[in-house]
Amino acid sequence: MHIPIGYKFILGFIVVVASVAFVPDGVKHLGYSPEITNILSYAVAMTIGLILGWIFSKSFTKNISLLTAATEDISQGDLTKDIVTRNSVFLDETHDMAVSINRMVGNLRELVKHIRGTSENVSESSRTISSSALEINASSEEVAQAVEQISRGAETQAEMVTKSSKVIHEMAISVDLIARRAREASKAARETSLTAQRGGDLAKDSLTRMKSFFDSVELIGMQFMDLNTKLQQVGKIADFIGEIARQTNLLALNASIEAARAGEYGKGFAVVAEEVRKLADGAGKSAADIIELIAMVKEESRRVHETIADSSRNISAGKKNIDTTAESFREILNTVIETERKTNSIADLSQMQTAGAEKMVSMIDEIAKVAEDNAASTEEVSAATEEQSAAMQEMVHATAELTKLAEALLKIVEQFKIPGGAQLAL
Amino acid sequence: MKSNGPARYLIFALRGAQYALDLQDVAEVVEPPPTFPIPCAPGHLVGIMNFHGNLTSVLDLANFQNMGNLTPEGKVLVLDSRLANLALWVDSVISIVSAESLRRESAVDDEMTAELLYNGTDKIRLLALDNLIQKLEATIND
Repeated sequence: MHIPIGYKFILGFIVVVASVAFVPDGVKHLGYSPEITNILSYAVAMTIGLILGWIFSKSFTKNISLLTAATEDISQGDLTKDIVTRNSVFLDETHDMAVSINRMVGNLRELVKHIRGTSENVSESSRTISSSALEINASSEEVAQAVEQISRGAETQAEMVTKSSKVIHEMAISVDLIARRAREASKAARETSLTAQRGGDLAKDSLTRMKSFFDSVELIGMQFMDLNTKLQQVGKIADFIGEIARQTNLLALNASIEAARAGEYGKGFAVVAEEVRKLADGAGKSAADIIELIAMVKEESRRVHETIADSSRNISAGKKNIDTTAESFREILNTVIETERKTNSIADLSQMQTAGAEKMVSMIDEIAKVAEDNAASTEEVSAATEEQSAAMQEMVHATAELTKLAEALLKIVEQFKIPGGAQLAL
Repeated sequence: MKSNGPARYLIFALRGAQYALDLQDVAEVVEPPPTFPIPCAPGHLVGIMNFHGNLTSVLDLANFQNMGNLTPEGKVLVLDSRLANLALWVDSVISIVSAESLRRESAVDDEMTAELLYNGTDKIRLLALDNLIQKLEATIND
């Protein structure tokens, strides 16, 4: 049964007052004088009033003391105890307060447990975050270095692309020049083709003339052989004349000797012999001159014959050469036609190459721009990475601070005692 | 059989030098004939030739004069038989000249030369046939 504490005070007051009120009547039955009775009545009334008042006040304030002690313990952080109130039939507000405080303590225990667990988790997590942040910071520095290298590489790439662009520009100019040269070569090949054709015709004409000349030379050679044979016959005749002259000379000489030996009778004969000897001498000298001339003519004819033979051989070789030349001209013609076709093809291909080179130049320019943008972007990424690294360092500091805060919170929370004596190790 | 007219000489060549013989001492000039070697004869005797039926010794004059061996295409001068049945193998016959056209010089430098004759600037040795024949006979007898 729930009775408010105010009512209890009222009922106690009533009981005290009633006891005091009924005491004089009781004392009167004791038979004491009125003065004593009055005094005794006052004394008994006061005693009963004090006793009842003490009993009532003690009864009323016991739970309050329990509550006071419990709140004092709670204020000291001791959450291990529950408030156990006196069993009473008449429950009052102290019982409700005790129940509420017990509920509050229970809630505080749960809260402390939760805060402890959370603090531990926060501390652990902050340490983990701190170490992770350190690792991330290290990784960020590596990334920053890598990005720096990438940035430098991008700058180098941009420079190389720019140079490549220049080279391709020059190459495009060269290709254009090649195309022009190929056209010129094609034109030259056409002209060469015509020249080779003329050369081939001339070689054929020369070959015909050379054949005719060769036949003439062969005829001359045969006529020369015939002339040589006749010269040999003349030489033999001259030899014979020379021999006759020599013998005549010898005869004249001997005639002169005989005439001399005949003395006066031989004088006339000596004159004749002398004349004969002179004629023989002259004939001998003429024959010798003829022989010498024939020898010279023979020598000259031999040389001429050799020259003609050489010429014949040369002409024969020349004929072969002209044949070869004509064949070469035909091959040259074919080659030149093929060359013309190829140079035309080269010109067309060079034209295509020029167009391709122009496209390549524009693409390389675009690549150069992209490379420059990449270089700029990598510089930005590098800066961002540095900022990230700085942020990571700040985060490391923050997580360290968080760890300290979590540890401080844990220390604070450890001031609260909970059942089981559980106290988190830091 | 000497003639009364002016002398005439047969000029011939031997190893570049010119020699002369009196035309009266020469019987004939012939081409080198076939010869037949003489056993045990000195080297300068080429052999024996048939000269119009007479056996005639052929002398290599260059060899005899210690001027080298004979020239195959030379001439053979057959001497008059009153001197000896001897023929001289020389290099060539040059000409017949009259003594009037020659300048004479009696001073000689060897025993085989009878006189020195000059035809212009050409020096001609007139062969001393007597000495030659005596010397040849001396070599044969040795």
